[in-house]
Amino acid sequence: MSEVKALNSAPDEVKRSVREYSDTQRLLIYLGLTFVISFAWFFMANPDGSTWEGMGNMRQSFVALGMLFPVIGHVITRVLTREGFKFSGDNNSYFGISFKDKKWICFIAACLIPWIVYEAANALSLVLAPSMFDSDYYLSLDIEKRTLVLLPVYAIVTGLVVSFAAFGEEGGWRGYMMPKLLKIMNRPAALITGGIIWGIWHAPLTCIGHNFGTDYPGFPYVGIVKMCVFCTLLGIMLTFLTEMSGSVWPAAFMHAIFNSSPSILNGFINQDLAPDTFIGRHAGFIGMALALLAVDILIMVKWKHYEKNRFA
Amino acid sequence: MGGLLYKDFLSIKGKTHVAIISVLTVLLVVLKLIVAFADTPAAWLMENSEGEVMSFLDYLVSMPAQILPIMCISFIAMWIPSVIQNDEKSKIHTYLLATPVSKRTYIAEKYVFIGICIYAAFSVCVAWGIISMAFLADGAVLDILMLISSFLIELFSLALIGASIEFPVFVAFGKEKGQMIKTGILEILAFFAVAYLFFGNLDILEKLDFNLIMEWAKTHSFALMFMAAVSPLITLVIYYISYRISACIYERKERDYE
Repeated sequence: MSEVKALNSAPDEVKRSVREYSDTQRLLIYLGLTFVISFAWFFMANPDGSTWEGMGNMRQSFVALGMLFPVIGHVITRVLTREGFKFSGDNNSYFGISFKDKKWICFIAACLIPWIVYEAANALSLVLAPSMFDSDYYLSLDIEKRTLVLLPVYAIVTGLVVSFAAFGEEGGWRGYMMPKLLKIMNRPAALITGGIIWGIWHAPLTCIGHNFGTDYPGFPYVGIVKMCVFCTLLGIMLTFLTEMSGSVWPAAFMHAIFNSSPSILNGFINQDLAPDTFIGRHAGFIGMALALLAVDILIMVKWKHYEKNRFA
Repeated sequence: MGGLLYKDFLSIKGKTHVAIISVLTVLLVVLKLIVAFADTPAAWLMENSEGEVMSFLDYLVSMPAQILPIMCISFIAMWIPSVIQNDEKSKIHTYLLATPVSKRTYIAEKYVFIGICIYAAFSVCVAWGIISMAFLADGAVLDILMLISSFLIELFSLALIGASIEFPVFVAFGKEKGQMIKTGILEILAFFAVAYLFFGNLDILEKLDFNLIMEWAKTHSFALMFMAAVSPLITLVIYYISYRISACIYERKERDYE
């Protein structure tokens, strides 16, 4: 109480130094910081403008370390705006982990859903463009046939073990941006806005051919739009998991496993055999979008049901 | 649990370690970018025994990533007795009796704490490996870094198994006696190693060839993938069994104390 009295009678300079930030201001500070640092990294790590395919595996991993900047932006924003690092309640940083109240289900779901979605997406893309099926394609990837069966399990385990990079993204997007957006606007608007921001953040990488390559009509703008759609659809799942578990870790695990592409069908799909039609060129993307959309519809229904029961 | 984790984090001077690692990581990135994109003076170029020409600075910048995994594992091995000793010194057992923290939660916290340390150390090692390998020309240094990277999961799995063995010993006997048992076992192992060097068949060591290991790794992708996929799972099971044993020992010990 004495501190409050002292603050009320403090000079204007002191009052200004302990100013309160609104959620919108905090979000803008976070986005400004994250975009500036991340884009600076993407340009610094690739000053000669090499394409993603042309830079080789080692340099790809180096450039991909930019994934860590959203969480760094989150930490810096909390320090600058004196928000603190709470692990629960209002202004939760979502860094903590809890398995109480069946929250462990979120962790299991985070491990298994990417596999199911990937297989469904690959199956859908084969339905859209059957000519992409190549029974010997895995041989060109230097993979033994027996290794194919192990691929999803390997992707899940390595995704979990090497999840720090995905935590770098999710700690920022799901740990800071989405909770703030959900406070500022309604849920559908927040999910779409969050997805678009996340997609635009990938733009420097999309421009050098990450995800979609460089050889497609409308490069790189079509790629950026596709990335925004993909990020919105995936973002719904990741935000749902974060909200349900009160932690960014299930989302980080899911993101990491998604990046590891856990699918047996990957070894039988040759994109080079896709027909030169609109559907053929975008079969992989459409398949993934449809699979994600199906899961998102289920999630939105479950979310609505959960909110209804919560406030009943 | 959160409070106990933070207590242990402070007891091992966690903030200092995080600050040092963060500064060194930034320094490593800056040096790497300078070395990669600045013109290297001819005087700094050197040739190794295989005739590969590389910058001395490039070699220097890649060194930390080669020694970091061993350093991290050594630090974590030191923290295991340290977190037990700090609790013994501060007599936390009497304090915990008055809190809702159960004996099992107390032991679980120790395991979770070391698990987090190993995960964090592994992540830093992977990140340093990525930074060091970027822009590096093909050659022996890149081969060594790639070899270290491919066995990093197994290396940290071993560290977790080491912790699974150490914890029950330290919980059962306390820091002083536990340390004595650990030192005793290590000394016996060292004694046998030295005895082997004097009297054993050294032909095996002479025939040890890094290139052969590299070749084996290239031709046995299935075995490597299987090991990488299964070893973390087996390790976690061993770690969990170790937790149950430690919790059981601690509960019996504290029952006698009460």
